[in-house]
Amino acid sequence: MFFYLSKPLLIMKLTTVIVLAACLQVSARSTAQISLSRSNTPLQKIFKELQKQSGYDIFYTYEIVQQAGNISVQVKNVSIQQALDACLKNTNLSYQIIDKTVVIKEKKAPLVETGTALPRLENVPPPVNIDVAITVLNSEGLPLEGASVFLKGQNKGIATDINGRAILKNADPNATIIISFAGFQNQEIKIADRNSIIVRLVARTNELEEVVINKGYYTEKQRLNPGNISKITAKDIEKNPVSNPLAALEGRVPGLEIIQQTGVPGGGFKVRIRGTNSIASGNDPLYIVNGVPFISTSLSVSTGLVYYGEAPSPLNSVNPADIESIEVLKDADALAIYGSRGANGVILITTKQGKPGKTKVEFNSYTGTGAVQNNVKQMNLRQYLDMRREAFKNDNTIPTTANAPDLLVWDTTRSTDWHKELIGGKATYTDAMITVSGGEKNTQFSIAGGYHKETTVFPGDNADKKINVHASIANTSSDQRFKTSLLADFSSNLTNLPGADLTPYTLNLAPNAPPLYDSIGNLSWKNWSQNNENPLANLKRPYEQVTNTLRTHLLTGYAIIPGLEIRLSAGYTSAVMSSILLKPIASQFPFSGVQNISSFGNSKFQNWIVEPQVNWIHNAGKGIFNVLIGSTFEEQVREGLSQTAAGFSSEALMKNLSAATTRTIGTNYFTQYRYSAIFGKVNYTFDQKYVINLTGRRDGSSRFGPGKQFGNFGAIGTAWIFSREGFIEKKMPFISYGKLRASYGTAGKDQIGDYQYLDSYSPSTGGTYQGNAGLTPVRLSNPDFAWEISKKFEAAIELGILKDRILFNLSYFNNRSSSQLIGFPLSPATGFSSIQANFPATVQNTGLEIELTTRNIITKNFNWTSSFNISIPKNKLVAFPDMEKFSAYANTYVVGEPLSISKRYHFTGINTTTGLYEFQDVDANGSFDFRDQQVVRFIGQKFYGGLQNSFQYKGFQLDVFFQFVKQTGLGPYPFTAAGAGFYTEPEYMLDRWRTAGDKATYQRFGTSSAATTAAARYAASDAFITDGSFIRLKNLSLSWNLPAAWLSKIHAADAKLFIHGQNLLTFTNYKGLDPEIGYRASLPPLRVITAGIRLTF
Amino acid sequence: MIPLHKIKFICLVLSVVTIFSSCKKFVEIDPPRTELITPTVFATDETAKAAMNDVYIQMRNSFGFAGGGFVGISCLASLSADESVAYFQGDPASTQDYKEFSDNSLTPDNTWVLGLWTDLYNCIYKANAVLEGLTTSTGISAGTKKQLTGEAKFIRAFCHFYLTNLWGDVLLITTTDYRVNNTMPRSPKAQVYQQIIADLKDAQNLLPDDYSFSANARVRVNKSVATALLARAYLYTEDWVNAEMQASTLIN
Repeated sequence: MFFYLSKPLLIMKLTTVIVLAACLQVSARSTAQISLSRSNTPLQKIFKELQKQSGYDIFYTYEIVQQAGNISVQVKNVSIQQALDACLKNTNLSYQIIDKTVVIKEKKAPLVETGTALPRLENVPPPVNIDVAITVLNSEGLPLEGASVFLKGQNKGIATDINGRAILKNADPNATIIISFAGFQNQEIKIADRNSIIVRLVARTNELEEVVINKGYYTEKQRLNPGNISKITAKDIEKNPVSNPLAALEGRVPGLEIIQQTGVPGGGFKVRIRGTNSIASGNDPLYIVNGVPFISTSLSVSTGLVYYGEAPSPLNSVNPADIESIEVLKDADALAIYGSRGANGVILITTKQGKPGKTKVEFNSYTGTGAVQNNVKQMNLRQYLDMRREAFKNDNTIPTTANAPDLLVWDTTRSTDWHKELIGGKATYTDAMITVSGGEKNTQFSIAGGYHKETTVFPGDNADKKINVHASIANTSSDQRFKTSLLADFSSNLTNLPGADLTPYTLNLAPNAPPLYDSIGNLSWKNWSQNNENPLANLKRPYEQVTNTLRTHLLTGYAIIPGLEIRLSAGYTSAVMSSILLKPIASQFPFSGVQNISSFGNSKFQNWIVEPQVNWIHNAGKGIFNVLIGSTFEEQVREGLSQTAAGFSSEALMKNLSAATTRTIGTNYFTQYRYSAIFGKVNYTFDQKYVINLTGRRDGSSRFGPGKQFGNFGAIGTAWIFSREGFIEKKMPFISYGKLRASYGTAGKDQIGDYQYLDSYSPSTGGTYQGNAGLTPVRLSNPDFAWEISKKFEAAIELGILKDRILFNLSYFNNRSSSQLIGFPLSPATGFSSIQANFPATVQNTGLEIELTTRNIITKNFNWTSSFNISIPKNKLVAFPDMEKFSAYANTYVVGEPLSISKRYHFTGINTTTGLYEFQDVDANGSFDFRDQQVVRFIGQKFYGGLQNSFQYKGFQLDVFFQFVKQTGLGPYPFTAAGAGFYTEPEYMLDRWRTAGDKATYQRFGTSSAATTAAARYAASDAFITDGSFIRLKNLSLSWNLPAAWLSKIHAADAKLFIHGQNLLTFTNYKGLDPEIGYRASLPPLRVITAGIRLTF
Repeated sequence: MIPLHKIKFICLVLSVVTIFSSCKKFVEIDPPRTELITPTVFATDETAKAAMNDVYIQMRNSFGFAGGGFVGISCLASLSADESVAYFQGDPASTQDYKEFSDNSLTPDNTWVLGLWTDLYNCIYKANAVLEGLTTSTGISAGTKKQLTGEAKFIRAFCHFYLTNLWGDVLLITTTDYRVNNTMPRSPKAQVYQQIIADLKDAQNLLPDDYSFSANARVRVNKSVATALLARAYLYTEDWVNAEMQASTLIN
């Protein structure tokens, strides 16, 4: 039986009426004179006439009026009541008048027929059960499909249909119904004898309820998701004054380890999702920007010293301000659909799109400064000179101008603070962005343009400049069946940097090292040497890098029939990078034979992808089937060429290759990678309570030889939303949300070079033979290697307590990667040192991840929320058969220990008579080599996470984010024996051995090889492993939304002033420049403070 | 009757399946344009010669065993023979390996010892690769095939000669198959010489008398070179008769 409301237009008014009718019994009096004369006419028609004459609105359900059949009525000049009485005389209907509205309903039938009626008090006629039509709408009046409607006290519920309707049959008219829907507050409502009820659900204030997550090929409500996906939205990203989105993720996502490699703008990041899976390289996650895979390794062919050996991050081309959300996919349920590329996790980046509404113009701009946070206190001039003299005295050596220019040649009264001089500058940040967006119901657009400029802390005029343009358009046909969207973004990045990072000089240069400039302001070479160069020579070696990136993505979909949609997703990405590093004569120590040298690097990345898909959604009772089938065709082409040219006659022509007399090709490569797949998922959700998700992929990669190209991957994910169970709702009402989930499945890794299976020759690299070119075998070919397989298991509980004021997630994972793709070590007799193969070694990553979000205070004017996350990873090499046969591995790894271990000498102390470091001679043969390095120590992060506190008071918002890392690190110093060379040492090295019997932390100052050897062994000993843990005030953001009264004066819809700070404070016991950078002498992440404004019109 | 939407659905599934069946071909890619696959290398005279050139390039490379550099056999052997002295400057660790040569106190970890071993076997691999490539090739002219086979056999003998003189019993490598070579045991010195002599005899037969092959530049091995080494091999194996005979041929 179906109900129809005869006048859908009046639904709104009806709601009001019904609600009022429930409380009021008002008899309306009318003076209207009504005349009706009809016989055997449908009641509906008569009502229409009545409505016309009386001016009253009459509400009825089609159903009951139909049942009444045709009637005859004859009245003249009567009131509305009389007319209605006459009309309904012989029917089963009654009426009620409220103001100018008439509601028609069924008369209460006498108690008889059913034996189900409960015994009632005498004189009170027990109610007859009725059918109730419930329409569930959201606050905008749009129907909600899939909302649950059930009678209070009963577990059985029904779901609303596509129009938001559900019929509750045979219900007690006095009963109360409960309506619930994910993302909305539950609503209780009394039936109160009504046949139709319209319920408007109010959205829950808690965001997590509404969170829809992107799983790449499909989206899912976070609450029903059986997988593990963390989502970071624009709200959090925009608080970070950074130019690379990865910098904004540090510490915010459980299971995601991000380590910034350098503070030089554009530098790289080490990114690991749930640990290191592979023994060989290739542990980077898969990055997908708007549905199109992007490169995970740098485009750069010649990084040189500029980024201190760390290649620039490929994600520099993504403007953080363009990002709507970043999803991090971590478990098998989420990753299996990425098949052979999912083993290391996936990072999905989705950029902003237009939203329906008034055209909005948003202007956002900030400016600020950055500086190195910390300084290692070096010895002052006095201490330094004393150290050197003591070192010579200890070793009975006489200082000469060759070994001690600092004592004999350089001015011993002059001192320079190298930290201040070389990296003590202020970097400036300028960022501006303008966005125009809007659209109506069917078409939305967004256009944005941004500019970012960041200078460096080095002296000189260096900067990293970026221009981003981003556009999106989306259309849905008026019948809602055909959808199209196009996203395009272009970024151009120009980087000018000195030829090398100057940080190492600040840790090395003697305080009295020669002056940088001569008396007339030119670069000075006096008293510098070829091995001890004037650091500012690097400023005369400009490095220029241009990267242009274009990304496009087209998505179209057509609903053939309701529930069945075909889609096509296609994308194209192109990234081009060119770089030039100049080394003119003027920048080199004046020495015979120096020449102008330029290094050129050009590289190109192109990628296209086409993914046809079919999606089918089917409602079967309380269950919903969601099936997706698709396929992928993708091609990536990478090209690179690096050249070094020398002999330019003029410095001015150094960017012109043809002006060079000699040219050397460093590398010239071309690789093509093709990938195709079939993938699918079957999701079944029953009653919004039980979810099972099967995903799978069969894919083929050109990185494998014929017959080994295809592999199968799959996963099962299940979730049980136990908080929807009646017994929880009844017995433990404080649990507002509870989910248990588990997933198991496989994903693969194909991050090896292309063509590894190929038996081929390439041009000889060692020049020619008598002018004849050569061809050299590239590799030993193994056509038989295949995927590295990662088996992933996860179990988790998610809890919401007290209306989700407390949200708690706990996940445990166990990932095992086997069939490790490594270079299998070979005897040199084979002609090569290794061959690409699957090795039966297994690496295990297990861990616990905890997230806790609490809304501590919620009042009208003041809100305080906290969120905390911690990840405790554990990495272990489970198996490595016959490791002892492969010295390259046996010297690095130990079965049962993590991959990131280091085998070290055992430091036994300082010899009280010689004053030198001493170590355990394990094999007692008097010499020290790898056989004595038997102490196994873990180097890496033991746990990490973050704590965010957000305070909101009226228009003010304050966010404080702390990142914490518990880790062991190397170093930092000493690398060399203190006093051995004309290099400075940190002040703490003064705690050294001086005379027999001294107890000191560091060995005596010395210049002899005994001292340098002992120092070198110290750096390779367990004493060199220190605590590198830190807590960092990673981000602080304060913003103020201007009051509405002010806004109207400037005709703005919204205006916000903000101050953002990054890396403001660091608490650590680590003695180096920065615990995140560790022992690497690289520029640490800067402390950045910016202020800005956002205006929306 | 099947409802229309079901038919549509089936059609879709079928079309999707058709698309998938073409996946396999899609992932079969051409070799990169920066490389030549092995059969192509041995398809023409020019490329086959280039493959042989690479062996000479490696040998004369300053890091090669025969390159005359600091890690070549001449320098290292002269340190051992006290013809040269390792002069230390700077970091002692970096000169440690040279010192072991001049002090006659070689350790198994010595980098240059491994370097010699690796470089020699790498040349042998390349020579074997040329020999195997030429055997299966059909597109190369008979003259070139003869010349290159002779050169490759000479190089193989030359490398084995130095190997066995440095280490005694060594691995005798006559194939490029890593599965065989990786587990190859040492062969007795006599057996190595047997192979050296066989290779050199072949080279003698295959190589021309003059330098016509290298445009009269004395940059590639010819019959006389093979004869000279053969004489030496006989001499070292104390086969005086043959040694004298080969030497005499050369002198006369």
